[in-house]
Amino acid sequence: MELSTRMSDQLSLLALGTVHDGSGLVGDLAALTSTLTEAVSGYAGLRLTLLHADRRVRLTALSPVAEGRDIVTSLRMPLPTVAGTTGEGGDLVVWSAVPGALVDLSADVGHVLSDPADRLVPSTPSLVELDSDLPTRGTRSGVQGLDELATISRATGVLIALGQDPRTVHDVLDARAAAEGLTAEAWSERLLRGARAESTEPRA
Amino acid sequence: MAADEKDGTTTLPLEQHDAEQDDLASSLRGLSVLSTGALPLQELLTRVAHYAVQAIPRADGAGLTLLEQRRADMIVTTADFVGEVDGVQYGIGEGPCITAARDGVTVVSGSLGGDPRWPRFGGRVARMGVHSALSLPLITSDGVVGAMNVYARAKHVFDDRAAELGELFAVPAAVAVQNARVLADARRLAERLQTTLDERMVVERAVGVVMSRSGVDDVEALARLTRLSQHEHVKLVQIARTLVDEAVRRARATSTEER
Repeated sequence: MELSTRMSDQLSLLALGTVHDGSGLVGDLAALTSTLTEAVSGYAGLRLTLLHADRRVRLTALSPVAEGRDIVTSLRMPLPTVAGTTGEGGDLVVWSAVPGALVDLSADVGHVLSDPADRLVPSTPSLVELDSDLPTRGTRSGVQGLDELATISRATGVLIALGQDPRTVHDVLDARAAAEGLTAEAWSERLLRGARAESTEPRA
Repeated sequence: MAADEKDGTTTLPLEQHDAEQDDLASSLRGLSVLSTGALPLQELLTRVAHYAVQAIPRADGAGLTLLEQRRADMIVTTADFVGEVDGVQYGIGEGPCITAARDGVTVVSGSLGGDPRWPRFGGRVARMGVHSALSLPLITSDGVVGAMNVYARAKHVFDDRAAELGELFAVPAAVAVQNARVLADARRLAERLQTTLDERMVVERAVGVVMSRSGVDDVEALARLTRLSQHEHVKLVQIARTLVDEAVRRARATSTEER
């Protein structure tokens, strides 16, 4: 399945300067979309939530099926059970426009993702959740939270250059922002504006 | 198989029937506890193929072919000879697995060398000493996701009963394969995205270090890092990591001096 140019551009931007170029991400997303289209009746899209320094970045990819149709069912899978290298708190949500279309996948995936030792314990919480993550009306395809995280990461660079320990830099940033009644992003933007005026080296 | 004296139909001796049911049940249990979240897709498919050999009496080996947009995308086998047979099959584009996947039907052959359906394939694999094949399409509600080939070296090994057992096994196997593919694709995307995100934030942190030191804006800071990367022929993320590490060392040294 072809991804929109906008989505491809966003993935390339995300991969800026890293060893993983954007085309790899585009190919991986296209492959998953294609597989889900075959596996799920009325497949309408997915949302992948990742965490970096406890902050969320979300990749949302709506299928053309979703346009003009209501998404009526969702399946949420915690990401660490799917991909071992991702951190706690991330998840993958799959959407469909057909009622009940995700019930079988939910049962099967829930079964194989659960720990066999715990599977027979009735009180074990379900690893997968049905219909708890339907998209809101304004949901669009794209990468959300990346610009905010980039701003905050730049601000941590400024703090480190000023002598802050990198192990605690995010906690310090959050504490300073909270003390001034600002969000981490707003506080970071202000810090970055000030960084030009207070540079530690002479300007060229 | 034995002839039933009353109505002429064939029935299995009770012990043989029970043994086959036990093998099938054991294979199905194996399928049901495969942790598709933890295993690489190829390893999982190989295990499914091994369970097929266990479930189908007198099978010598099995292979499993995953279809991607109607083409063979991944092929796993339980034994080297299966790989060689499947290599011939996909190389010349004819054979029982291709027929099973294309038509969505179970295909049985007891004498591949003389089977008129695949004249080129049959002759070649017969010379390799493989004479019986049972090919099962892996069908889900959305179509054929792959096919399973079970081979035996002897002639006329797979009868109707073997086909029946194979079909019983193929239903949950198809679901396992499809789920495995969903999870494998999801895992690949999530892991690459996480790595990319983490590396991108190293670059952004380095941008902040340059901004703090040089008083330039983020665009110019990134441009400087990029020029350095190109000049040094080193990936941007590695340049960024080195710069941040230096900033950390400098900060710690300053902190020590102040004490």
